[in-house]
Amino acid sequence: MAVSLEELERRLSHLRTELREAVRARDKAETTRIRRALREAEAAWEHALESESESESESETGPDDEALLTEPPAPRASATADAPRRKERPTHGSIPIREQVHQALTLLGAPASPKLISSTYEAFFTESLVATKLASLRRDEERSFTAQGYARPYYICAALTHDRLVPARGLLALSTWPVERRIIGPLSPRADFLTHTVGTAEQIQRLTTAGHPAPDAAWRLLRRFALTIPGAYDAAAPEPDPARVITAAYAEATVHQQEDGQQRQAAAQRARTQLADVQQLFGAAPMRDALRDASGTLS
Amino acid sequence: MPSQQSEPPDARLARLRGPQPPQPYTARKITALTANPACARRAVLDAAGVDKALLAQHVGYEPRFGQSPFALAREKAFHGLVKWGGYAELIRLLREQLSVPVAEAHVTDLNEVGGNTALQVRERETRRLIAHVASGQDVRLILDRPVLTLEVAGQTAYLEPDALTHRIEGKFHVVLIRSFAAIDGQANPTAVAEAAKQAAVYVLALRRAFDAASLPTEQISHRFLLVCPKDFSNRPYGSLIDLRQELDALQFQLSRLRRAEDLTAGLPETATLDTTRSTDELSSSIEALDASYTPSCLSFCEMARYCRDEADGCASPARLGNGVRNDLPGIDSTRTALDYLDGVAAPGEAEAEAADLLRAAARLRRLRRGAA
Repeated sequence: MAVSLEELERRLSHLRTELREAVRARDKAETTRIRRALREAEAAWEHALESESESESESETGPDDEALLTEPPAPRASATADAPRRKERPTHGSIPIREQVHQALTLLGAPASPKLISSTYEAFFTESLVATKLASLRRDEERSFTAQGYARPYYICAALTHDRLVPARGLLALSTWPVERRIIGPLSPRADFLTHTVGTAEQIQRLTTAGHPAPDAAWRLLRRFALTIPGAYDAAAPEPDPARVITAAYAEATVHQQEDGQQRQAAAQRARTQLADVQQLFGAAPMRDALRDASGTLS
Repeated sequence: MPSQQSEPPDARLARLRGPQPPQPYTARKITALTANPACARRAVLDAAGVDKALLAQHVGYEPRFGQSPFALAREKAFHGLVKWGGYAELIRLLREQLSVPVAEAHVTDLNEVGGNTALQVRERETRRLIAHVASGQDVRLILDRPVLTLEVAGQTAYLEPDALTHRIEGKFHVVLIRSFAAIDGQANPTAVAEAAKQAAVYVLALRRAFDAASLPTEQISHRFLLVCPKDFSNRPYGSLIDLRQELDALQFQLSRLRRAEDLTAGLPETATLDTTRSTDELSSSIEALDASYTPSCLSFCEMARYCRDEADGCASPARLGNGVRNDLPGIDSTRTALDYLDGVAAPGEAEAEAADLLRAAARLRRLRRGAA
């Protein structure tokens, strides 16, 4: 939102004055026009208020994290105190977005794209998580880490490319994972995909054992995973069998394990020696041209 | 692109374009140019990177075609689906249909290089990686959106195939992802032909890259992998399509293309294709460039409607299609042809044969009408 709240409020009061004059003058066309402008300005004001309250509550999560984690909705309600808006979007706002991402990533067990994070979260927690909202999350987290450093128990951070150790395109990870787990080598997208599959299947198993059948969306997600792994899917069965999916995923993962593991180890080693703390989490600065010709970097 | 080239011909093209940023030279433009190689107008407009849609609008011809937003969204969604989950669907496809071993799952995303999305940087990285893979130092199953270059009409075009794969029969294959459905293994032939033409451009660019790096071009397959949705589902289906014919045609056409600079040399000094200038200035400059209108232009060129009206004005036989044009060799206007038939004018020696044929056709037509 480019326009500030104060500016919008000034504009609102100005429009109201105009409207009053137009009504007195019985100018119908003018009245309609002003009313429309007024409605637009009001919507913009609501929007600005919302984004402000969001960023406020996000920064609030900084110092007193422990308290927040136990009862996340409380400060949000007092901060906004905006009843109609909360009624409109009941799911949003109950759990901070970074918390949602944390839950989804923990479940998946490896760096994942915002899209996968959101579909996983929505599948298991039956609450919406808009993938586009994750776009700025990594940057916000980096800012918060640079400002306070390790003040939070975890940060949503980047996965690193194995050759240049810069943030991998469109992937989110958790700061609590070791660097190896966040390295993306040539085989890692596939290996991570298999890890995601195992994580999803295990969560379904856990839910089933606990007596809470997994939601349909979760089964759909598992099916989508299973279809692309050799031997994980039985065309005759209506639903994939989690145990079978896990076995198949492990079988393929062992094929890639050695080579992928070595690359991850080597890159992680380099990351630990070459990069500062913040860079280990959020990646080295984007490449400049001078760095390019060091061609030995690709293993 | 223009910043690195400071020779006079490019400066001339840049001057023609005016202050607007140049439009990139794409595979689509190259196929359009090779479909109608005689069109100097399109060659110069593309070489100068002029926004043809905007230009057509300025001279009063709102282009009525263009890609439908729905088609684009569908294409994007299908791309996302194929590349979802670390290219899971594409890997499955390669494994199931083209017997790629399970151990092969190395991928590299060339959409950006170390956070840099500049085409030049991506092109250098692509070249380096291809050299590594081709010489066996490295293994990659999929290269996602590599960048290749191709010299077209004296201009460097940057091309981005959807993907390259190296592991089908140990050869490099270009991969194209398209969102038209293949029903029972059969897809819309026009759409497939269009895709094949584009793939041929990519294969040719890949060959040039191999030549430049003195790598054996036998490693490049003359087939490409077309990925499209299977039947009425969204599951990707792939098939290898032979490109030898398209490649030969493309190479021939490219060798025939005149250099855009030579074409601009014939233009008057005052000519401009700057879309901020007045309509009259633009029209006179466009007229100075020879067009070669055929009805098929309507399906791929933004300027087609302008050229069609122009062809109407001078009664060009090509306006009625290639058949009519071929039946009237040497006769440059349908009015002249009618004059010959009515006996108003006598055909010259070169046109006599065509005129005889026309007369015979006219007689048959009259007879038939009389009989009916």
